[in-house]
Amino acid sequence: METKLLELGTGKAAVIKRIEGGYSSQRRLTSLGIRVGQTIRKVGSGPFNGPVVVEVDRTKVAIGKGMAMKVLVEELPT
Amino acid sequence: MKILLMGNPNVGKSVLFSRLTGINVVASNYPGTTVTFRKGTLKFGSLSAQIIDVPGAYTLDPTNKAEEIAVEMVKEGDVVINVIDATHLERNLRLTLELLEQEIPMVVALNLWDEAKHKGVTIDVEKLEELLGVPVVPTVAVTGEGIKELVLRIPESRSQLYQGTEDERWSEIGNIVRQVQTLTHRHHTLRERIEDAAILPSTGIPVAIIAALVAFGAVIGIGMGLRQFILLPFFETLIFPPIRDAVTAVVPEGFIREILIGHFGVLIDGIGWPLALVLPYLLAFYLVLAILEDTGYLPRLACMLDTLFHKSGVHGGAVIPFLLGFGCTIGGILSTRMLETRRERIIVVALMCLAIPCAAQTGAIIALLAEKSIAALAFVYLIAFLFIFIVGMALNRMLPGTTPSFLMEIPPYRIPNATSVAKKVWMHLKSYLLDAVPLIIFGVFIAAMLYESGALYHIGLFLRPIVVDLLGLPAEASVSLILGIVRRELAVTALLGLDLTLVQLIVGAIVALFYIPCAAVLPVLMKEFGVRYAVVIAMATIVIAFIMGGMLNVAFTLFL
Repeated sequence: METKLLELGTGKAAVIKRIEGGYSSQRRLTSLGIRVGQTIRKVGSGPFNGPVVVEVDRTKVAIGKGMAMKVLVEELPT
Repeated sequence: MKILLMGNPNVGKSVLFSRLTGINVVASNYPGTTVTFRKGTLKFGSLSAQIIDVPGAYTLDPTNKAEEIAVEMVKEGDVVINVIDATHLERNLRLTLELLEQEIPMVVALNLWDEAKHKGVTIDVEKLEELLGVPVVPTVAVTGEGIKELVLRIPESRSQLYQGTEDERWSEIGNIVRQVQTLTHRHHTLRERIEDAAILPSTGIPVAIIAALVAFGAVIGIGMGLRQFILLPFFETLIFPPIRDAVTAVVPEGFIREILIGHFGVLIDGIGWPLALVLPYLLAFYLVLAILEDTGYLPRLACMLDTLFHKSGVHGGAVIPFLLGFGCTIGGILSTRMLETRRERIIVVALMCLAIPCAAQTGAIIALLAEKSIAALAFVYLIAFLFIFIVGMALNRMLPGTTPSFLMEIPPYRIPNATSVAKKVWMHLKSYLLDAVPLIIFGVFIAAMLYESGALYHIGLFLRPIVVDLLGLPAEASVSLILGIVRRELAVTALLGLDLTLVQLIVGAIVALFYIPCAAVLPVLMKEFGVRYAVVIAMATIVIAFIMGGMLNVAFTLFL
């Protein structure tokens, strides 16, 4: 089942299924390795609805709330 | 021959550049340190080439100003050294394939090789070389490992045409990574837990508060210590008395003697202000900043502040230009090139020019206030931060457009290297001594001329409605408004000898802070944003400085 990256539980791994939003934000995400088919792990999120931090390809990337809503993922069973 | 150093942000291009050319450049542990290109010469045996350090880019399809510069540079190069972060092969190869499409001869430097080994990443270099069709050399730029071999293989650089759509490119990258990379599985380390602690809300907020307090404390503590116990005694006992004696002996009483050693004496204040007053704080600030930059904490701080910054129309990433602005406004303005939109850059630069004091001005403000009252100092900074937040919110409403989302790589923590910290501090110090100190001396000279010739008296009369009636300062303080155009800190130091009350000190510091950033900032503003913007900033800073100062003066007289 697809959920928004924003709503994924902390510590959970997931596969990226779809990225909504315009060309420029897609491009910015891709350049950091956030693209369809990638497996990510959610490390947590910053205070007051802050950015979502994920681990992807052994790097940590902070993704602002607006973008994290547009990244749709499917949780992997642990 | 022109050799371009290209690669993703924060992979160590600038360190490699220093290695190859012997030129010291600023390198830090966050993406986007290099926002403009730098040139140097590599001489090795018979090989002599121009090396260009290009700003980091994730892609040749630019997403910000710094990447645009990188793309333009590609056309000019003869050879590209593509610097790759060996710990993140997959992501870095995207740019590599894009560069291959440019048909420019290329060598790959597989940098951070030591960190990759440490993290359990093994890469089959020969296989990678075969698949890419260009030479690949493992390097550790920080220690110099592999640099010689890299240089030796530059003549072997080849161009290798690759063409593909976005999806084909990624599947090609997937293929390559599968064939060359083996990962040793490892568990979550303690180090990683500490790294994450700075991002998660429960621990991140205390960490940020402690970091800020320690940083501010260290700047003020080190600066004051250097000034009170070393520099001030040194100049007051060893330098100034002989100067005074010599001038008194040689120069007859009168105009010239007063210019040299009188009020605003060029040989006294012209030396004391830049070297005994500003220098200690500048040194302390850049030391603390260099340590913060190299640890990798700043992107984490950006993450923590994102939600708050969004209210002012910029995302958390803007904290880095702001912090650099606390060093030098010009450096801060240039580093806004890492931001995605012109709208964000305009907001950050406007706030920086108004209410972020540069390190030199901070030093002057501390000297003016802290020796009388630490609370006054805290009050001035509180006003500045409140102002930044409120005006940021207003600009966010006024300017059309939306704020892009925060998106930033969070680098691993690295322990700052003492040599690299020392080098950075020295570079900043050198540019201060060479570029700023002569200007400060010139400013003091102007002040002395105006004072001794009596012109200041007339200027004081002319500015009386503003300086005396509105701001409640003595007429002599008008010299501060004239010197403030030259350099930010001169607006503050000019108030030092004036025997002001605490209220006057605070008002004076606030006016000096909001007043025009130094003369050198204006051409930079014109170049980056156009003449109109520069004029608007110059006007706005003057008007706002007077309004803020006037309001404070009225408030103090009414309530105290």
